[in-house]
Amino acid sequence: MPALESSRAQIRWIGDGAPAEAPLDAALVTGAWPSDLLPDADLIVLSGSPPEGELPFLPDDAIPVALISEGLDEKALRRLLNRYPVFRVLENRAVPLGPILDEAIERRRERRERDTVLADFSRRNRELEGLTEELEVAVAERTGTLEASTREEKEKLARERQLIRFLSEISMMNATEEILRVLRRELRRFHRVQSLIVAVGEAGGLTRIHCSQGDRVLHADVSSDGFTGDERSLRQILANRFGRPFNKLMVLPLELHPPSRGLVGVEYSMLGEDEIREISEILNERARATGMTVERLSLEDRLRRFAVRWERTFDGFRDPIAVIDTGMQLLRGNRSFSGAQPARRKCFEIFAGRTEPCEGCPVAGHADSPRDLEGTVKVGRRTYRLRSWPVHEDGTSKVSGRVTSYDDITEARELSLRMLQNEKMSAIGELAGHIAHELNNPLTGIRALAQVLMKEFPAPPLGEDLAHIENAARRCQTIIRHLLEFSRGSNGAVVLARVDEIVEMTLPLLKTALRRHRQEMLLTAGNAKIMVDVHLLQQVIFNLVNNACQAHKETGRVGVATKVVKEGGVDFVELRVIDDGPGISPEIRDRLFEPFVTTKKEGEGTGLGLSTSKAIVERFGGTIRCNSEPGKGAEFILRFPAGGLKGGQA
Amino acid sequence: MKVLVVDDEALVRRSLGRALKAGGHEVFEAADGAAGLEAWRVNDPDLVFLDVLMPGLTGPQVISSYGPRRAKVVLMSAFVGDEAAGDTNHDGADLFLPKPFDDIFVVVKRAEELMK
Repeated sequence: MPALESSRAQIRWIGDGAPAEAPLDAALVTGAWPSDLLPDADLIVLSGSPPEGELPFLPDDAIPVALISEGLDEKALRRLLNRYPVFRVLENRAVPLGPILDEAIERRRERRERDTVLADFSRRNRELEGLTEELEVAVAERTGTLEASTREEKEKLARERQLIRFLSEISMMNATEEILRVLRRELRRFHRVQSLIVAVGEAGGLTRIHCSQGDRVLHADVSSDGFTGDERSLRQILANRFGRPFNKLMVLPLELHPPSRGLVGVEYSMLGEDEIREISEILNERARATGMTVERLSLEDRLRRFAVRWERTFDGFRDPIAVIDTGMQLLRGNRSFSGAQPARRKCFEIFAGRTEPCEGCPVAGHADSPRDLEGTVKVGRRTYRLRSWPVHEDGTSKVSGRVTSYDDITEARELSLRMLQNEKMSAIGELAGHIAHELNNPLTGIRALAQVLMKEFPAPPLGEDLAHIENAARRCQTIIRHLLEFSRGSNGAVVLARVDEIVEMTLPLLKTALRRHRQEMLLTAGNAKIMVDVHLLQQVIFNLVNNACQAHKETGRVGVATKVVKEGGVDFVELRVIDDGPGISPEIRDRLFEPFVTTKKEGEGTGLGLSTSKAIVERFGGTIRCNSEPGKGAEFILRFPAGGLKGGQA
Repeated sequence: MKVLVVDDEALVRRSLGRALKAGGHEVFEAADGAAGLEAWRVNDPDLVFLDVLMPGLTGPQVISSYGPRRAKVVLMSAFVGDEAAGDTNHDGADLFLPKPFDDIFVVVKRAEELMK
C-alpha cells in the first residue's frame, strides 16, 4: 500500500453522478464543475459533460485526473483530454475507484519524487552555475593578475637588460666622461633631469668633478678637504666652479676604496615622487658598477703615470740597460742602449751592429745561467764592462731572461792603462837606472886604468891602443849618461834649446834600432831654438824614430830632418821623421794620435807613444801631423814656434 | 902621502891606486866598508877615498863609524842626484867626486889640492 500523508486520501468527484464504489479509507467529495479552479485532491474524477466556455484551471498538473468516458461525445472527450493531463479514462461510473486511487496516489508520489529530483537537480545546476561563475571570476582575476605580473616581468626584464647593457658598456669605458654619457642616456626619459655629476677624489688631495650638461662634459678640480659632499655645500661648489646656480640635487655615494671617495648626482628642477624613486632605483642599481669603473680608471691612470715615470727613469739612465730573453733577443732597452730602434732583434745586433755576440760577452752561451755574469766588450771605440743579472719566472727558479747593464769604462780603462804604462815605464826607468849605475863602476875603472897606462906607456902602438880603449870606455859612459837622463824622467825645466842638439842627443840611444836601416840625417835648423822640456822632446823623437825603424820588417830608410820655415811672417822649426816602410792605412792614420791605437799585436808595444807625443808637442805650442799612404811610407812632421811659444820672440 | 882607497870595484882600486902611485903616494886598498874602517885605523892614512855604495857599511857609515879624524875624506859615487849630494854634505866628507871619472889624473890632482 503506498504511504500516504497523515490525513486520509481525498477523492473529488466533479460532474454528474457519483461513483458506484468508493474506497472506505478515502474521503469522497462530489460536486459540480467549479467555475475557475479545480480543487486539489489526491484524485480528481471528471464525470459527465464539461460546461461550455472556459474550463476550470487545474492548479497543479501533478494532480492525477481520471475521466469517465460514459456519456461523452467525441468532442467533449477531446476537449477534456486536451485541457487536462488525464491519466486514466474509465468506462463508466461502476469502475471501482480503489485501484484507481492507489494508482493516482502512486503517480502523484512519483510525480513528487520526480519534481523533487528535478528541483534538486535544478538547484544543483544553479549551484554549479554559481560556482562556475565564481570560478570564472577567480580565473578572470587570476588572469588579470598574471597579465599584470607578466607585464611587470617584462618591464623588469627590460630593465634588467638595460642594466646588463649598462654594466657591459661601463666595463669597457676608458674615461669618466663616457660613464657620464651612459648614465645620462639611462636617465634620458626623465626630461626634467638637467644635469648629471660624477665626482671622484682622494682624501687630502684633489677631487675632480665631471658635469654633463647637454652634449658636453665639463670638468673642475676642487680640494678634497673643501668637498664634504652634502647637498648644500655641493651645490655651492658646483655653482662656483661651473659659473651658474644649481638646482636641487639627488646625490648617491659611490663605494670606493679609501682614501678614494666619490659620488654621483642628478640635478633636477621638479620631479614627482615616483620619478624620484625610479631615478633613485636606477642609480642604485648602477652605483656599484660605476664605482668600480671609476676606481679602475683611476688605477689605470695611476699605472699609466707610473709606467711613464718608469719609462722616463729607465730612459734617463745614462748607462745602457737592456732586458733580454734567454735567446739574447732584446725585450726592452733604454734610450742609451737602443735609441728608437725596435726590439725583436738580438742585443748584439742593436747595440754593437754585429751578427754574432760580442767578443768577450759573458752572456753568450750562458743566457739562462742563474748566476750574475760579468765581462768586458768593445763596441767601436768604447769599452764596456757588462753586468748581467738573471730574471726569474714568477715564483720559480727558472731563468726567463736577463737584465744587462753596460758601464762605459773607456776613459777609465785608458786611464788605468796609462797608469800601468807609467808604472811600467818607471819600472823600466828604475831598472835602466840600476843597470846604468852598475855599469858605471867597471867603466870608470876601465877608463881610469887606460889613462894611467897611457901615461906609463905613451909610445905607439901601446899608447894608441890604450887611447882606443879609453875612448871606447868614454863612449860607453856617454851612452849610459844619456840613458840615465832619459830614464830618470823629466825634471820639468822648460828651456830654450837647439833642436838639432836635442836630435843629436837622442839618436845615440837609437843606435841599435837604426843599425839595420839606412839612416839619413839632414839637420839644418842650425841655431834655431825652441822653448821646450828637453827630456820630453827627446821622448817624442825617440818614439818617432823607433816607430820608423820598426815599420820596416827587414831594412829600409829612416830619415830625420830639421829646418826652419817661415809661415805668415812667423818662424817655425820643423822636424821630420821619415820612413819608406809599408805606410799607414787611412782608417788608422785618422786615429793615429788616439791613445791605444796600435798596429802591433796585443802585447807588443802599447800604442801609447803617439798620443803622448802629440800631447807633449802641443804642450809647447807645436803641431804634429802624419802623412802616409799605404805602400808609400810615412812621414811625421813636427812644427814648433821658433824661439819660444810666441813665435819669433826669444 | 898615505892614501887609502875603499871601493868594492877592483878596477877602480887598481886604476886609482896606480894613478896615485904614479904621483908618488903610498896606497892602501880595502874592498868594503868594514875592511876600510880597519885599514884606516891600522894604517892612519892622510887621505881616504870612499865609495858611497858598498856592501856592508856604506861610505858615510864608515865616516861616522870612524868618528873624529885627521884624514881628509873623498866620497866617490856613481849616483848623482840631489839626494846623494845632500847626504854627503851631512855625512861630513871633505870632497864629493861623482863617478864616472872623466880623467883619473884630474881626480888625483883635486885630492892633492885638498891636502894643501
